[in-house]
Amino acid sequence: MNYLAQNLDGLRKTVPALADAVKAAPGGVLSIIPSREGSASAKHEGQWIHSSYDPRKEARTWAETRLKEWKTGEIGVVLGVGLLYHVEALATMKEAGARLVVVVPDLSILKDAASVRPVGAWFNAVEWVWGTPEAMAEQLAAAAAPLRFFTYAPAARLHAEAHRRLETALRHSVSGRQGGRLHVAVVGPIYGGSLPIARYAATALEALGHRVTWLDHSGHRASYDAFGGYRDSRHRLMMQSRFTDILSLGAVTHLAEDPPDLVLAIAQAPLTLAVLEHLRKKKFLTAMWFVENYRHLTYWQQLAGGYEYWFVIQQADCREALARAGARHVCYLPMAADPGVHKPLTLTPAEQEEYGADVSFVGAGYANRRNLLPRWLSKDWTFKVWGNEWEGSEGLSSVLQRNGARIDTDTCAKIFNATAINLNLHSCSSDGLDPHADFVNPRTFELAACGAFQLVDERRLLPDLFTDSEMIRFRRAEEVPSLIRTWLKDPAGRRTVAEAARRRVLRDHTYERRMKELLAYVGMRQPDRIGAVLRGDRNAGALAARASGSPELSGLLRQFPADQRVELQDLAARIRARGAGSPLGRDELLILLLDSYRAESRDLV
Amino acid sequence: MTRQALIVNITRMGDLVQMGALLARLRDEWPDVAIDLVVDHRFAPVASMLTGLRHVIGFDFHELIDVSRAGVKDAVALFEELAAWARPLRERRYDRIINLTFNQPSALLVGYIGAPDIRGARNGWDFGSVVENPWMAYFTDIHHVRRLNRFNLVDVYALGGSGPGPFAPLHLAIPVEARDWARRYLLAAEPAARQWIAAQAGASDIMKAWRPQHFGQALADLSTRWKGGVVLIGSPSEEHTIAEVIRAYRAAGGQNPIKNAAGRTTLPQLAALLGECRLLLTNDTGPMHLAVAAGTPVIDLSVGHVDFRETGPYGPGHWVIQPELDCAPCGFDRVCAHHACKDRILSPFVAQLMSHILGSAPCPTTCSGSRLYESGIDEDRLGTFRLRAGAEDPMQSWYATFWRRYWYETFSGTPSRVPPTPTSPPDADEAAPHVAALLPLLDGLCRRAEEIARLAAGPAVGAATLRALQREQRRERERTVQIAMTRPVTAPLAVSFLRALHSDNVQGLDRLARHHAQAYRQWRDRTAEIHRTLFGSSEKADRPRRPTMGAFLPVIAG
Repeated sequence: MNYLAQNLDGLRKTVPALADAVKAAPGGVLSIIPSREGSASAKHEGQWIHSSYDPRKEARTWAETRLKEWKTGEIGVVLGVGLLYHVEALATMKEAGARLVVVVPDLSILKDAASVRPVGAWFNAVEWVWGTPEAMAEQLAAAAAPLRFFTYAPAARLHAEAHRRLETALRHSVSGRQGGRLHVAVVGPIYGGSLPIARYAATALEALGHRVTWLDHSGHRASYDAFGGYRDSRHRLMMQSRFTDILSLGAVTHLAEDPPDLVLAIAQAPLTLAVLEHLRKKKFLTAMWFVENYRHLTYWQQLAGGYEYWFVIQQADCREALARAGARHVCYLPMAADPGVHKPLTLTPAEQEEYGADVSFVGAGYANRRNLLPRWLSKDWTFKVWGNEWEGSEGLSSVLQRNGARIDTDTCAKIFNATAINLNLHSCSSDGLDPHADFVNPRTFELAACGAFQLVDERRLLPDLFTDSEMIRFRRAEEVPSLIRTWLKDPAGRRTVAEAARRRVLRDHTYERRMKELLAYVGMRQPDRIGAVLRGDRNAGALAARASGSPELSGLLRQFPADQRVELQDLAARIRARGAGSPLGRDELLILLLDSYRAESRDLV
Repeated sequence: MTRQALIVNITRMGDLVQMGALLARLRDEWPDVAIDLVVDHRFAPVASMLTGLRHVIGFDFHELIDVSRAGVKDAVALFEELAAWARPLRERRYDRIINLTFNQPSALLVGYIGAPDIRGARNGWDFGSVVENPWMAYFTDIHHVRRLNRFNLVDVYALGGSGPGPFAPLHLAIPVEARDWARRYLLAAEPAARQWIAAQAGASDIMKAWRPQHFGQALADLSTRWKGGVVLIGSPSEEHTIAEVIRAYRAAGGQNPIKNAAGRTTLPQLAALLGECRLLLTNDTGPMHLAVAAGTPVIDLSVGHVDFRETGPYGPGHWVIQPELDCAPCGFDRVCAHHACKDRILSPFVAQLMSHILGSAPCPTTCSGSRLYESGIDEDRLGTFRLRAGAEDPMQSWYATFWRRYWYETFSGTPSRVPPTPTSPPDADEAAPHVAALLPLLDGLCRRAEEIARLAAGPAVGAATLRALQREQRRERERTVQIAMTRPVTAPLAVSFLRALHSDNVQGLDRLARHHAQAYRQWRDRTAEIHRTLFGSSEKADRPRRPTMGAFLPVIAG
């Protein structure tokens, strides 16, 4: 029996446009198969969408788990349509008055669902969003309440790409409306390329108005190196590993003394899995921005389950690998630039002389660079190579600057500015161009932020970040000399491209932008924590409105500016600030009690 | 009219079992009393085995710590949740609250709930915490003069929460189903083993744990002269320690069946399991008190910062081995670099003691590097420990006995039946002039305190004059306390004075000054009394002969 007409009649009363759209959809995406208990179940491309035994029972179990996460006042958003058993279960079990929205990327599936079984009153009580992912994101972003996403994975996997686009669009929208002040602990590495990234991230968060605790481990570099001085590699590894353990415990001690809303570790941060698991058990939120090539540095495999959120600079393969290794949330977050550091400079003639060249390359001497760069030398242009780890690279000895010394950030910016054509060749361990050319390195963004012209090797993820008119790419090593020749002759063209790239960086690729997106991603998954702070729900005004049942508490809250974030410690400090000699109210005792528990740290350290 | 009492006992499982005597004493004091208990929800199963409670009111305080610290919930949500839980307690209008959790949050909770009679920590009228009741105050003093303490916390809880009374052993009402489970468990583990002993090698703090290999060796040694099973108990996190015990046991040739029950029992099942065993060999831990309450003899290996005098097994029939080491027991704030105390207790000695308890060997009378104590009840019907092997420092022992009688009589207002120390103190030659030299300093402090009180009560006094006097008083007080703390004849009074001085829950500068003056007077009078009692002093006759409860209480209660 086909129930479509009957179900659409009901739907037409509440959402006529949707009823019409469903009617017009072709349907037939799902294969309907009776379950063992008799109700309809469904398959798609051979995989079950609902239980083959008892779809209703399975849906109830799913819904029960979600209900535990769903806080009062949040709008529930279901990803994954299928035959809607899970939506029905959630709709019938939810708190009275709670709003439930279903995302419908493909109306054909909703048509299949509406055809196979009669739906109840719940069908007209839920809200539906449909259309393009971006349009759906816009509708969701317009909601006045926090969103709590519930993914019914067997059905959601049919529309993974649409959900990703929706999530990205929603994140952009949410990131543009962030207001509250978070406390973020940024955990940096001991040394390495991710160390400046950690600084940029910390600076960006501060610029966004958040409080940042910077756990800078670079001061431990000398000790770490000293432990690396043993002859036997086992001794070296053991001592460096133990040293990392100590730093990890040190980080926890720091976090215990000033607990943040979010612990943001940058690649190579010395946080061990044991410490991460301990933090997780103690309800700390942790995130890792893995600004590494996951194919080369594989320690993520051991840490995948340790962090709550992973941010990576590579796409699908990387995200899937992390998910397989146990990561719960993985999000693509490309590199960026800090325009306060990498910017156009006016150089003195002496600086221009020292740092300038027709063609320059700045970076470490990886195998492919040692092989390719000598091929791009020519008597037709001057060429300078800057950076370390070039020992034994005979073909470049005549152009290697400062005997292969490490180049600091300020000098880098001067070189970028002084050079006509900056070569940007992503590193890899083979002889040629990176065979897995996907992520875009920081240098791409830094050169662009300097307003410097660059030739960069093609990357799969580059077109999403820069257009052809913003970035000149080469696909084969052989193209480079002719590109150099062409662009050397066209300073105006170089300037046009470089300025366009800089504008793009300033608009889309700053660390501030990245941090906003990172926080928006976490906030969407933690609507009652990070999300609440970002929305300003933890500001004094909003809290005082909610505390109207407790006059002492609401009175205390109203002593703060309405737009100031207020937590227990602030309330307790306000009470204590009155000084000894002022009697305490009963509610104040409870606040001080709560704050005493909040300040406990013995179980952490 | 039914009296209502609320006990707040949040932090530790052992503390719950240790309030068994208090529960009995309260029922003696108020036969119709309804007693409620606030407890961390993890320990509610233990609380449910205590007899005589009306309500066990659990709260997940650990969750509260995690949630508030990590900002999982905002201030309003946290407040409303806590208020919803605490408000009904306030509305019950308890006649007495006994707070056995000596920390700031519990003091604030007690202040919030409120009662006409509060014993233990509570918030002051403004910000500080104060400790009400002399026995409860003594609890906070113990840590400064630990080696002179002879009161088990079980008695401190009972005396402070109620008052003196008959001896009441610790007791748990272990559910029948838990007992059945324990019997089945042991039977299934090794049908041939007709008797079992238990061992707890882990501890919440590594500092207070004897070494696992020593456990293994002692149990292996026992297996050469006693045939029965060994059941190892503990928490799931102690698996590593237990594996070490088993390894050492096997390596030392242990032959008896051994069963690992760690993390495999509920708390009632654990109590039942202990009840089925002939003895428990243990560090000073919560399960030790469970075993005592289940009627199972205990061997308490008192190492690290634990002091069996405070937390050892209560009542007759138990044994304690304490390392003989100058630093034992160490302070709670110490980080020990050597853990030498753990090697002072020798496994053959422990094995021999186990054999004795199991009836197959005489009680060991000599031990090298440690002391052996047997628990019992003293003449005041309080728990005590009697030295059975090894030697104590005579001076420490003399003063500990002296202060035991002194505090009992002072706090309870009744004479002690414990025989007085028969001779003068071993250090009488130095102690007498020490006290004599202290008394004029105390007189000076009292005079200045009176002057400050007079000025504070009078009309408009120069603030600068008052501050100058207070500064001088503080300087002189610090010097005098330092001198007093150097000898056991005066140290406990100095500690008691400092606590009394700071328990200043009074409003107004004049009252505060009077409170302080009273604390100084009490210190001087008590010191003078000690001088008279011990050294037959010719002190002025106008000083009070003996501080009474009436004289002491106002200082504590303000």
